[in-house]
Amino acid sequence: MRKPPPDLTPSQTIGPFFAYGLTAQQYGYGQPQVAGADLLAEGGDGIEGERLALSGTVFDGEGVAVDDALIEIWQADAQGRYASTPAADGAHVNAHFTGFGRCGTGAPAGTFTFLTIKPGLVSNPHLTVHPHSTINPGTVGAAAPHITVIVFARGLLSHLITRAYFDDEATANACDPTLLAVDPARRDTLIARRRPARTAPDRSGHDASADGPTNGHVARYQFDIHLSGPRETVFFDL
Amino acid sequence: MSDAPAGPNIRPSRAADAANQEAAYAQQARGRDWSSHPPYRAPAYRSTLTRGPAQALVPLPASETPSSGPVFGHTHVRAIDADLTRNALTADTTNAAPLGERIILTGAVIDERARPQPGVLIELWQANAAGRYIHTDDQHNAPLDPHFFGGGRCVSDAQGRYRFTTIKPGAYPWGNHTNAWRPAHIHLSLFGPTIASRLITQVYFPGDPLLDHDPIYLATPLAARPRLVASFTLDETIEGHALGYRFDIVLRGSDATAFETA
Repeated sequence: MRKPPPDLTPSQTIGPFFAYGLTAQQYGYGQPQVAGADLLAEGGDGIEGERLALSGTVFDGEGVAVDDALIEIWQADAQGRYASTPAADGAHVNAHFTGFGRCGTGAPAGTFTFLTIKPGLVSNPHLTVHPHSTINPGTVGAAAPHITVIVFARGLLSHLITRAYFDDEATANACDPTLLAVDPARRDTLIARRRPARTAPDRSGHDASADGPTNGHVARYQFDIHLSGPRETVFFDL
Repeated sequence: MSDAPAGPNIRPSRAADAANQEAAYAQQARGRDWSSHPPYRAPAYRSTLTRGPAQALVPLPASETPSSGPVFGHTHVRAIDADLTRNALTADTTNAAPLGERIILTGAVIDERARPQPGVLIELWQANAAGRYIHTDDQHNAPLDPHFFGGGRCVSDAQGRYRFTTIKPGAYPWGNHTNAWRPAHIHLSLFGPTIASRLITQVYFPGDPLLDHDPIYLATPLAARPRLVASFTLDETIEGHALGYRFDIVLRGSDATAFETA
């Protein structure tokens, strides 16, 4: 008799006490962590691409900053390649860049900052091009540069998945299949805003451009996340 | 298109291109299995009401089905990281041991087609035997254990198996409602083959009377709740040393094959 397929293990909340287990170094517990908020830490100058700091605050439905969320990001490299994607075209996947980062929102309360590179346009190998198409096959249904953002928190029984696109990629964003599938009125919740190159540090006194080894050459983007409320961020069913 | 930035022209300008896009949008990626996972709003768990989204999740186009996710290898994990009875010991305390009931927590990671999932990073964190976390925000009036940290990790082997040695955690009170206590549980975090496999969950212990009073466990669909409870087994029990608990984990697998044959 054939066994029925196994059922998925249910999600449960991350709870309030993940910091020492998942982000021990960020929070000063003397134990290892597998990833942090600086995606350039290991590869350094060997990583190709425009340096950027992606910062934001996580808010609950009442506008209160959520100081016990865990944010994870996953992104392609500057040429649009994910580190774990088999290199079918023989291209060498950037060995220095994992594309994964993790940051708790503990300090300053509710905020996160990742130091990373701007991802490239991600082409879609699943789609075929109409024979009379005038556009480059590599760009049909291509995803505009974006960073996948995962949110865990106490009070979230299942995690949330969203995407940060870039406001200075308007042309690519206009053709992005995912953005086009989102209610136009809510699309701006998925757009990270580039901040002026030189501004005073934010209210917390934190100057993201001072983080890491690329001090002074970092584009700064703001991407706030609203878990609910009138400006609720678009989250994807995945 | 002189106003376009340098790079490929991705603006669809012909009917054929529009047809291509429409075909792509007509299909949606497989969504989350809500017969298994708890909803975002569960009124008995109060903080879900301000933190859970109120709007429906938006389906991704099928072309955006994730086919990749972060990869962690043995470079990220040491053998000692899977033994929570030893990973907090120092050169001065090498012969010491944490207080509490030693247990083995082991099982297999598979996907919903029963395929073993090797190379899955499994991270774990938990309270000590007295129900106290080492986290500085935990103010529960129960003792910390200087020989117990409560965090660890391992990577599943070629058959998808994982194994931790730890201490059975204690129950602890929380502020959700009057006389609220969390059942004994261990937090688990897993990375499967794609970003859609990502899972954070909690494993509970069989026969715990607090399960029937816990809004977090009870927020899970009724049929799925037993999948959160480990089973005691003598097969994994080490004579004279530790009780064995088995907890198999089913992750969402890679959709790649399904997509190609669809």
